[in-house]
Amino acid sequence: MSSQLPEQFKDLEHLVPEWAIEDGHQRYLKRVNSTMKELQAFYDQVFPRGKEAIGYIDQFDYQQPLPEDAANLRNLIYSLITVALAVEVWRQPRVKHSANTVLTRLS
Amino acid sequence: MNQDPIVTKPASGFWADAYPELGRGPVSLEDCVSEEFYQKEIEHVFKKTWLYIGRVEQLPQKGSYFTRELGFAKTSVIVSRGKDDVIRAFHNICPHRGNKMMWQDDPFQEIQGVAPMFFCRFHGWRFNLDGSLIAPSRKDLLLEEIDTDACRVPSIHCEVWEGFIFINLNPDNTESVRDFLGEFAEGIEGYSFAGPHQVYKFKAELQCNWKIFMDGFAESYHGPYLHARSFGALTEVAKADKANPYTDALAFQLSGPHRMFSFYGEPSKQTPFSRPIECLTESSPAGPWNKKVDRGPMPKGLNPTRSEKYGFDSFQFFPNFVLIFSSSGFTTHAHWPTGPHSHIVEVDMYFLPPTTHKERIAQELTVSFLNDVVLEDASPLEGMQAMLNSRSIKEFYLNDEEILVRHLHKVIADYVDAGEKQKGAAK
Repeated sequence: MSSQLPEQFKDLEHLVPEWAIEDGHQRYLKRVNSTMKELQAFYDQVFPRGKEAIGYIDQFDYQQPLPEDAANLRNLIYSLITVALAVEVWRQPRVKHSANTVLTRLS
Repeated sequence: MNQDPIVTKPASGFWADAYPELGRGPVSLEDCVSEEFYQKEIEHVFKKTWLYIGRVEQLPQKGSYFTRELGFAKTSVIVSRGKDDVIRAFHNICPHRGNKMMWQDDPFQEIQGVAPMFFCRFHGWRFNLDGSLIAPSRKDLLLEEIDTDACRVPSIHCEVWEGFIFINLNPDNTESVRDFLGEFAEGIEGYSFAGPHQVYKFKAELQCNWKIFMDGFAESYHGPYLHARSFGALTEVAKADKANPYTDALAFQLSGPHRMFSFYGEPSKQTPFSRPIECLTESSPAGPWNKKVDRGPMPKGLNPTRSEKYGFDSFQFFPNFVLIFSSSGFTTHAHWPTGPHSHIVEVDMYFLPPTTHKERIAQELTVSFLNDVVLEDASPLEGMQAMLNSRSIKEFYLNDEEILVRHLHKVIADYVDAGEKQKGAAK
């Protein structure tokens, strides 16, 4: 079985089961169903590794499927984007003033 | 590109002076509240005008089809590509006994797929992709010869413009979709609509009249207020630009029932206000930084003021189809009324396909951010609708930056009035 994350990102592996979410809609639901404390904790662990992670992922040919460990890392970066909007912009899991409304992301 | 501006603001400083027929006074909001008006709007607008229903990429091969549930018109529609490559639309019904033709599991869920023919699973009747009858089952039971001119899957007017598929539910319609879309369509023809595209799609049902949402996307006046958090960077950059500190529109244009605005601000670059995640991904809600996608020469209708501060153009084609051009590509909004106080909004983004993972991640920032901004736009609307329903105010007070709002409500009223008069004359 391949590793969950590439060797130099092993320290983030505990985040993979919950946060390596490729599907955009599921990722958004994960954000709005998390507490601010959980979002901040995820952000604080992943953001400092963001530049290195994007550089790692970007080595691969976009036309080919990513190896599983790199795909997991990319999905963590996707989640970082989703979470960062809550942390940096809204300072709450949901968009400010949006109550329970969500858009369904279809693709 | 033709460098001459095709629109300039009137010397008076008011767009209203370019369109005096719209007036300057308050505008009735009854068209967003009244159940009776809603029924007339469906009858005289949605059932009589060209409606954008999908793109040709959704029908990649002969026999490809998709269905659309159009609750407001009390019908379901099949859109399919025939063996002759002609795209056609039909009511989703078998002419034999009225069974719904194309669905799986749940008759009210939209589907897509490929089918060599239309097959009715109730009694096994088969139809060609042009709607004509191939054969009923059990011919030996027929009591008379079937009139094959009449016994067809009922067709709906369907035309394609630049890959956008439109239907018209009025069987008596004689105007082509191109004539209907008019000079705005001419101005953007030649854009690389054919792709290839990286498509991102969103959908939501909101508890507000469809026009209220359209109105929100018809002006940038609300930007510094409603979007103070999300687009604060743009507002801050604009403040430093003495020429346009409030991000007023570069231009408004009206053309028949259609309208457009050209939006100030090119935020797809690093600013002193860019957030950490934008710096990390080198991207913004307007698109990846410094990556103005080269889609060839710009059609003459885009950036109509030829401004270097140009951000994006938004065309609102009557009644419910919005086409926005930004540095990332183009985005469509379609608004489908589900009642006087509710509608479904569909947001589809057609971006240039990424060529690297870094580009894909940058697009993910743009798409995720836009998701949140659309929610920010939608956030006041449900509360607003609920309060409009109280009828404690009767009119909107619209300023010069809200001229497109004024226009939409006037055009809707004109269509409904004309339709009612026509009905009265026919009686």
